[in-house]
Amino acid sequence: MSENVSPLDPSVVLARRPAPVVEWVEIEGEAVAWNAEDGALHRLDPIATLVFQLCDGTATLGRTVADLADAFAQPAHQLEGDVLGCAGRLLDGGLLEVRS
Amino acid sequence: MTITTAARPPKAVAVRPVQWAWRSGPCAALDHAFDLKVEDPAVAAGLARLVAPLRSGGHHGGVSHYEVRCEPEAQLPVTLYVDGERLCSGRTATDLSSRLTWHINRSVITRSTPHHVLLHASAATTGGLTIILPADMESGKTTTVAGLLRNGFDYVTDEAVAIDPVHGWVTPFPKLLSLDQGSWPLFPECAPHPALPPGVQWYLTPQDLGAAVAAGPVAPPRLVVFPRYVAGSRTQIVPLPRAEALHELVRMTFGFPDHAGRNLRTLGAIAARATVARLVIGSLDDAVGAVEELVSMRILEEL
Repeated sequence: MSENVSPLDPSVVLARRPAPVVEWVEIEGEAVAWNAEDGALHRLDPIATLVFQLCDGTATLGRTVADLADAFAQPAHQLEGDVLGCAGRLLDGGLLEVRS
Repeated sequence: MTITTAARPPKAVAVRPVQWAWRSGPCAALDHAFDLKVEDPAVAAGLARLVAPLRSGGHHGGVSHYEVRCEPEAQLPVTLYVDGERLCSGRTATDLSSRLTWHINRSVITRSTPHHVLLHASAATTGGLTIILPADMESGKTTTVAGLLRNGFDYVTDEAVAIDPVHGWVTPFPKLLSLDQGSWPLFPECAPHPALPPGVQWYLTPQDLGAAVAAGPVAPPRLVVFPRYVAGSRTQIVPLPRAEALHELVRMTFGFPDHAGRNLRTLGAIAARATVARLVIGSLDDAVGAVEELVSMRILEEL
């Protein structure tokens, strides 16, 4: 997945793109996702898998950062850059879409 | 006045009557049903062996008809047709073997992917445990499965593992094993009769290796081993993360995009439950030993 993505605003709400555009399976904490639009298969590391799963179209990215910070007992500001970057790559790879 | 126009008679086509020396009867390979008729007895002897493991009791639905006709005066006197369309010509059965095998394999894949998850892999079974060996071409999957058969495993396929997407069971596709020249010295007992014309591959039956064919669908794969022959290397089993194994299984799936969701779920279930590993092959005997050890460990785990 490309590293060159636009930074995302924490107020953005993202959602996993539905099947049959994106099909995915999670196995031992890692997702393998197929994007039917570009025929690309993605293997997501455990952090990317968590972000992907949390992007369900109901919470802002800022809320997701806060949830992960709670779960990992980390300050939100330390996680924010990684989570936003990861979400950006998932968006860039066509696995997520922006919800208005 | 009434003018009636009689239907025009069909244009006369010169069809030479053929006396078939040999007919296969109904054959089936997964969802590809076919039969083969051969005009020349010498050619028939060579080709009959190719389809022998695929002969079946009967056909349901569409059937492809392969015919091998002779034109003794032609430079290439034997020609293979499928449903009336010329596929290739040659001098002997050997010349047609690879093209017939290729066409059967291609048709199996085209016709079977709607109903099966189809992996480019070989497979064998022992003690109720199914092992699949998915790999790119020239990785050693046929050689490895041949080694397993020689050591008592039952044969499932050396080309396409057909997995039922509902139950995960594997339907055998027991085509002849196509052994490349580099592996011939490993199986000297299987050398074709010296009187037979040389070919680019040896076509072996499981019986040539002392093995049986699995009689029907076999249990879902519990060992997924990705073989890779590396000349001069030490044979070793390298455990794989399950997600990486799933990624590789997807890559080895024929027509994956056509049924992506179904295929991904089926393969995910296999990768989640099976022992998954790479097999770096330096020597066949060591590779067979390594797989047997994996089988033993897996059987113990399942007790």
